[in-house]
Amino acid sequence: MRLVVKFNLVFLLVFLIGLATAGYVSEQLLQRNARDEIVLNARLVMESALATRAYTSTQVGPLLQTQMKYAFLPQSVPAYAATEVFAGLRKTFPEYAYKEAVLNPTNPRNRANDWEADIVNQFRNGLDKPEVVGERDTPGGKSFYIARPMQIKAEACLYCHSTVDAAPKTLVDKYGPANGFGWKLNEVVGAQIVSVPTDVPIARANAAFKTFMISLTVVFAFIFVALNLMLWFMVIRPVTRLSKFADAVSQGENMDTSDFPVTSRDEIGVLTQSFNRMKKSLVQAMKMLEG
Amino acid sequence: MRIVQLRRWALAMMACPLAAAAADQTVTVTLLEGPTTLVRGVTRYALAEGVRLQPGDILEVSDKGLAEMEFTDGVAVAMGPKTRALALSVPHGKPAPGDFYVTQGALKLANAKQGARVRVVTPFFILQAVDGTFVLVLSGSEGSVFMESGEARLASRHAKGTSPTRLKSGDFFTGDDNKGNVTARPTPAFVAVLPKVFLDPLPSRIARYKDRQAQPRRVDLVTYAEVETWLKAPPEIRRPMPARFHSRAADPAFRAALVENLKFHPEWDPILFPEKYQPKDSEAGSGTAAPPRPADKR
Repeated sequence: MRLVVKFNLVFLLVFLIGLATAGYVSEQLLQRNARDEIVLNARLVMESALATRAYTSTQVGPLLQTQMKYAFLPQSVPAYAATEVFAGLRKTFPEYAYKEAVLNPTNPRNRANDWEADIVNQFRNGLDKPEVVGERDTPGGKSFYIARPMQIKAEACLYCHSTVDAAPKTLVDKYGPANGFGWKLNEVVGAQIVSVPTDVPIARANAAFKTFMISLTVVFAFIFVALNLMLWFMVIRPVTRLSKFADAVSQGENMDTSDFPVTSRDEIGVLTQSFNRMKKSLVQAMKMLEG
Repeated sequence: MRIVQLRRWALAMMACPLAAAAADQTVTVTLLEGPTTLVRGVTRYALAEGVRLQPGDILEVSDKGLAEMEFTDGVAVAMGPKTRALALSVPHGKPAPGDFYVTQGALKLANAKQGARVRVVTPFFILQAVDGTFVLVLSGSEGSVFMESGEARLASRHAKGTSPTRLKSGDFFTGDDNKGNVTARPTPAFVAVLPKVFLDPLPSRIARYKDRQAQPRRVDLVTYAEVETWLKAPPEIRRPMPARFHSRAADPAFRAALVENLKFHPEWDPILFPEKYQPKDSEAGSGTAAPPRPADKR
């Protein structure tokens, strides 16, 4: 088997092992990074929603109190403001879903469904965690979610959610007297939940993985070609030429010709010099025998 | 005796701050948007911020204008576009109730406190603020009142002796008398015609004009058309008009209009045709005077 074939076989074996190892490690890393990125973005969404709610309840709501006596203004409702802001964010991040799931909401649209109610009750029952992260099965596949408790911390929140008599009449007109009342200070009334289909981080990780592996393969291919060329020009070709010359000398040819040219100072050059000395010794020996 | 004198002196000293405060009671125009016409006496003026209202002032807000005036005790009255009002009585250097006769437009009265003496008289009813804030809109055939906060009493202009209707916070009244329809919410149609500024608390700018008074810019003497509404107002409203606009009867155009519309304000007859009311020579000689032949009275 020729040297270049042996070399390439070894090289391919090493390449495949390296590629498999790099692929496995990078896939795990990329999946984790994609998940972390999703979690970070989800937290940003939640924090922006919280900030919007606080701004609305402390600054916007009081300014609209008089107007609310004339007509209901949803812009004074923190949940509405947060939802509207998120709708704008969703244009950039369409894969995210945000809901303020509440056990006893004013707007029935915000009522917590079964799994959301379970999460809310976890927080209400004293779960000592700032957030809950998990996955659940949905008809469309696995879904990744982050949930944080919504706790009433400002008196301003109770303006619309304490008693029917205290709430703006226009709000009661719109939503009725049965929903969204009886909230208390420091009570956990619901949860902010951001959901993302699990496919999303997996797809991101896979896309990055594919790009990485293709890049790695291209680099390996380039190295393969470069090494082969180097091997050919620096080892195979000079050795082949030396081998042909040695072969001719062994058959009695080229005995009177000049030495094989030494073109490098590396191991091939040393081998050439050794061969030339050996040829000289052989010529002298043959002359002594003839003489 | 000396004790009595001392007591009287002490009471007088106690009354001085009150007297001084009462003397400062005024109504000042503190916010204007767009032109508002002021008719004072027989002259038309362009109203300006800082002008202090006087009894008898007539205000007419332009189509897209807004005028707000504030009493020294904190009561604020804002008039929306196309509102026309006559200040029947306003405090002007001495205590007086604030009485406005409003014929059309939208008006918001805010910050009335217990004991506030501010009334709004309309062609349909008389609205007396007990405390709080109300908004009034007059259409051609009825008036609507929304109690933003507090309480008001709504009395009939036509049925004397009937008990007033009490309006409490949140009530919405519609009617052409004091016995109209009261509901718990203002209608969307009512809210739609309100100036946007009426939906918020009225701004207070009285501090700017506390020690500063402006004068309105004189425009011209009034024409009949410009004061026709007031000359044809209900009798108790237009009673002082002849004495007020008497001098304008010398203007030929004004006089001609007075004569043409005499049936709407017959009290002008003696001014326009004084000769009808002069005693005849024959009756003067016999010692009896023929009674004047009055025009038709409304």
